[in-house]
Amino acid sequence: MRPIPENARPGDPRWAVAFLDLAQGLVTAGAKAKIIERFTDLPHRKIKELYKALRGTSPPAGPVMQGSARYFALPGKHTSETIRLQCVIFLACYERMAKITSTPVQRGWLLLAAFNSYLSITEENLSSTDSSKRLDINQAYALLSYCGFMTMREGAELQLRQCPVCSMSYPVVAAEALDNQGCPVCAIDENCERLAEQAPLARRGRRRSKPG
Amino acid sequence: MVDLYKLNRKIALHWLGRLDSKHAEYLCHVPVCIGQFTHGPGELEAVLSRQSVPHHNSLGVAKLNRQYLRYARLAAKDAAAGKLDRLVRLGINLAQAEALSNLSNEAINHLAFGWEGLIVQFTPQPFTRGAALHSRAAEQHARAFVAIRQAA
Repeated sequence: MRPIPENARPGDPRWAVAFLDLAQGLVTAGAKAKIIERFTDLPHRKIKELYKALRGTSPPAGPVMQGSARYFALPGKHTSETIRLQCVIFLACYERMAKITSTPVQRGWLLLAAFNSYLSITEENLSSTDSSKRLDINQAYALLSYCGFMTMREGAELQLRQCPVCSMSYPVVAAEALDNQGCPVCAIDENCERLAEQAPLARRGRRRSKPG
Repeated sequence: MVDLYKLNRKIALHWLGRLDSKHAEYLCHVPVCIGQFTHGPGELEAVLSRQSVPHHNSLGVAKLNRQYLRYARLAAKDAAAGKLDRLVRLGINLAQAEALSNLSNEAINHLAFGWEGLIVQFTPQPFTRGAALHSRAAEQHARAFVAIRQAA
């Protein structure tokens, strides 16, 4: 799978096959039709045909950008530390993939290559419940867009920050205070600490409530 | 994955001297190589072009270099066959992968002994800090090791 250079055009016969491969890869990964159109210049009708042929379905419906930058970085009701960690891993895969050549690579190709690497890296030791917590390719695209595709970082809604404790590089919302945007691993560690402290108290409480 | 675990274990052991049970448990969950290979094809070529092999390294260092190079050669061949996640797992680029995939057994031995010191770099601090976390947090830290910024 040769990288497609940034300046290659889908209409260029030298790259036509590579762009078709890219479209097939994006369809297999479940990307929305708009994303595939954006990166390959294929018409919507052709993408629908590819979907039917490769997956037996229509392209997924809904807007390209779902949620907001906060969803990927701020812990809350809809965003667990596990999801934040998945974002951390995907962005690291993308950063590493972007460095495999000295010349800039086409973003669609990078998205797909980084996403497939992310799936491969996160599949080991994965239980069936964990697998549903992984990012899908449309979320990965949205995350990258909020990060300025890691090249136009100035002004991007999400910025990367390095945890001074565990050295993890994780995304934060640039416009929000950093106080409540701590490192996801350290947050899990603090939670474990809290649970360990609460466990003896809970056991004592249960013993007291037992009759006799 | 077993080979990667063994390689990571050797790298960590070399730098830390000994590994405790938390370190060993942590390494089970790391999906990438904890060592950084930062050398370009030119540097490999320069060592290989020397006619006689100066034995810079102790047997332990040479063995670790050889283990890394063998693993990297296999991973680089996989990458050339389309498994690009191997590049992410090793943190190397296409030029490095091409040079590594073309190494013969003889060249690997030449590099393993002739390279001055270890061929991979490792920053122990993130590893030891990650392993010291509560077991669940340590596991998550290990799984996200790819996102750890190591000092160059």
